Amino acid sequence: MNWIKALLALSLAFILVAANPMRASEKFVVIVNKENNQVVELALVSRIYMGTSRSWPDGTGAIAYDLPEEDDVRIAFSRDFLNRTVANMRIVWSQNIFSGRAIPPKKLNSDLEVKNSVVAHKNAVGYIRASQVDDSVRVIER
Amino acid sequence: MVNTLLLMSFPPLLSLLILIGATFLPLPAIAQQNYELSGFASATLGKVTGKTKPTDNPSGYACPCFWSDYGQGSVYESSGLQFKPQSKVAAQLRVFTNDQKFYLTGQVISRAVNNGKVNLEWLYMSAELNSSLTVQAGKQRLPLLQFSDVQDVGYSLPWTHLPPQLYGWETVNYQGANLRWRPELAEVQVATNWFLGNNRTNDTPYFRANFGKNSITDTRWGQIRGLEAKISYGGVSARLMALNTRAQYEYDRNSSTLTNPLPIRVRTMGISVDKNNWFSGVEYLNMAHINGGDKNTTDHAFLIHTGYRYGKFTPVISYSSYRQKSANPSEPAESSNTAAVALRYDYSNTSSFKFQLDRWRDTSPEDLKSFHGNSRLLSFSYEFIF
Repeated sequence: MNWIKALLALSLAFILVAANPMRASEKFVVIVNKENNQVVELALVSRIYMGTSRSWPDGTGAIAYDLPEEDDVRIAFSRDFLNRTVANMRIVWSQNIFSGRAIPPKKLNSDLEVKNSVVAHKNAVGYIRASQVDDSVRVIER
Repeated sequence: MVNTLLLMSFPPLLSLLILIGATFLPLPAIAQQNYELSGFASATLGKVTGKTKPTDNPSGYACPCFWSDYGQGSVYESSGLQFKPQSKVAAQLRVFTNDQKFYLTGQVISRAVNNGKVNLEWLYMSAELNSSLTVQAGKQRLPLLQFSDVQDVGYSLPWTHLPPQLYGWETVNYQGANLRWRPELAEVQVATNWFLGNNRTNDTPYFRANFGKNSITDTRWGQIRGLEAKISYGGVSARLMALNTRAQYEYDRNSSTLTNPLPIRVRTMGISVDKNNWFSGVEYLNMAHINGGDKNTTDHAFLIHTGYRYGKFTPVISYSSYRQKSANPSEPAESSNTAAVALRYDYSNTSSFKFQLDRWRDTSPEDLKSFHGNSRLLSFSYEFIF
């Protein structure tokens, strides 16, 4: 089966050349509602976005917001905060959705929509461009 | 308790209960687009290149062949390029209340292996009693193994098909009720799932290997009682599952009768690690058929796999093994293993291409090799979700 070995070698070479993921460099911040005075660890935020945690430390349900998949901040958040590509996150959420284990973060269209929704909901968490943050929300330091 | 047993004995009653539950969903609560429609599809082509031709194959399949999914009767035959075994399309609808505490989930699947016939795969209602406790009732996937919940969702998996030695049994779904407990314990995640129910499968695809592709069988798993427990910390998860049931079979619905109920005990365990883009896992299954004395048999199966996410590519290698053991040492027992290498390419955020090479080795005694023989499978798939 020499041709199979050749095919595998060719595939490996293709991976090494073509896999280089796009780099997005938008700076972002994780935000929660100002009235949320709990200790919010970044690891918990990560688990909420991965679908493995659903609640804040006091037991109240967390509401998470996402930006559109093509948004540079969404790409940077997935890569730098969750250590996954956006496509990898889709795989994680396809497992959660089709197993009925969790409901995905609600997708909003802009930083402003995310910020306003976090302001409006005490249990909310989101991420926006660092340049768009103001004192209407609480920033979780990284 | 009587009501629960009654419901489990009569799946139509359970369906009726779900429909009543759906009817009483407060209308204003579902009026504001409180539903999600999603779906998945796989188009998979495969070609078998075999070395050993079975001499006495009773199944009616063109062999050497490759059983990619016993649970669905998915077989790649040695008759050119095959599209049917793994190709499918499915839709899932979830309707929920404004607070998302009560929801109804339904999933239908059309499989090419069933000539496109649309089957209701799941239909269940869920009620979140509090942030860690959820009760569910209806038709659901039997949580035998780590990937059981998404075994049909090609896009969710690193392979074009799950390793057949471990995945794909005579019963994959059940009708009943379950209680999920998922407490938040800081960085440790614990999840348990206690389930009760039963299931009946006519013309069980699993038995086509033994009784032929056109066999008309009846498989009933009654009094299913099971507990699944998973604990995760960081990127490491450990999972245990125990299930007891009483099984009855009718091996030919035209001429045989239903067997007496006999116990089956299933135990599975697994450990998976996902760190720094590496993911690996080990899973083991032990299924004991308590038929009495020398007739007792046990299925042993395991899977080991590892893969790496490298940008848009995910290569994975795996090895799965199956071995049957009979209490009667003179009884010939089936055994086989499959080594696989697969490569996934994420074409977009919702679609992927995969290429996979499997090598099936039939390690059964000579007089049983007629069931399979050795084979190789090359498969290529395009999968997407919506």
